[in-house]
Amino acid sequence: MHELALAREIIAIVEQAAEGHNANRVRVIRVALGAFGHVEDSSLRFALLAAANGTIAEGAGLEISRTTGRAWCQDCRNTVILETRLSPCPRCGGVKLDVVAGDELRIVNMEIE
Amino acid sequence: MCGICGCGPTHNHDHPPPETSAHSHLPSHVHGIPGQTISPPSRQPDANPFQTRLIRIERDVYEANNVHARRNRERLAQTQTLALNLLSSPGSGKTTLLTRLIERLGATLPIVVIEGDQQTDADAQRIRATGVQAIQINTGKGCHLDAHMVSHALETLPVVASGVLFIENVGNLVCPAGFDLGEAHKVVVLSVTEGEDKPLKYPDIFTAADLMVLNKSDLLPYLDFNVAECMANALRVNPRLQILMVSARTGEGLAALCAWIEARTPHGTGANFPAQ
Repeated sequence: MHELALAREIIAIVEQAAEGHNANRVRVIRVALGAFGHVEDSSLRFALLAAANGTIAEGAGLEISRTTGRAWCQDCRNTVILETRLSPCPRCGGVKLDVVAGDELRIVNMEIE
Repeated sequence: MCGICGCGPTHNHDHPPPETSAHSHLPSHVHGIPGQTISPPSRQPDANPFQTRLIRIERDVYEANNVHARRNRERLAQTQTLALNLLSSPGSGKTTLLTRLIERLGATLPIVVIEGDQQTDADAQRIRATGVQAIQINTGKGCHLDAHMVSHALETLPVVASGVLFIENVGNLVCPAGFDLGEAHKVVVLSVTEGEDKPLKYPDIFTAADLMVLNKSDLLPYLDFNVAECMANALRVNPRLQILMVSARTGEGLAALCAWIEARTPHGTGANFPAQ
């Protein structure tokens, strides 16, 4: 349940970002989650409900967009897009793949009112 | 939120009157542009009593942890301390393995240990019984150590110049994977009683690790554990993973593991030090 720690961090960043904007509340928080991110969507939503309680983000919606996972194929020596961490190389079928992108969890923006 | 299509509140658009069939997103259906504060287009006064504004953030959620991790790494590099972050499920034998490593390495290398558990300081006591200083971090309900906790532990522990800091993470094959503590290497310990499929079922932690220690090899005669299949699974998840098989109980393979560790300290070749 490391999503709770991440949810608390999201709220801390959101509170900081809301400063100086004269916001009454945060309506939506948008995050980008890598295809191989160490996060379960439903767990993050649940954790965010708890973490947002009593903050400016209480009741805020969470929109999660998925970003592409990429890996370097040691066999065909190309950077390829992978659907899952365990997918074979879409170009050559190789399985010696070094993940180079897809672990991210980034707050993109938020809506305030 | 738009009551018709369910889209988010930035979808500022006028819906056609109910009597028209089309629910079209008109040109005023504008998604927010990062970095800009957007006011809703003209609308009925009672359509939205609040002014919605879009605030660009673009920040990594792991950033705060990573800042602490970088500081830890710099601090450890200054004293040429090799930090190893030990990850595994509960019961894989991490603490027993640590006590055996300390017995073998302690004579030539200064060692300190950070123990992470939800509750009790039992593991730190086991380490202290070997004569090595250890600090226990209790995470309470927390499922992993983070770099901030480790930075405070480093303030308390003595500096082990040119030595080794072992960080025994909370027993958990999932959560600790994403949290950099400032270590030189993550080392995942998998015991043969856990099954050869674990690298496929919990790939994040095996991807994050540089070394897999396959522990409890003395139990292999009593199990159906397929070592070759386990290694193939681990390498499928992480082709660069190094693998060593040991038995903390009998000592089998520990010399090779000690050599792996020593080679990464200034006493060894130091070729990989400080690993980034």
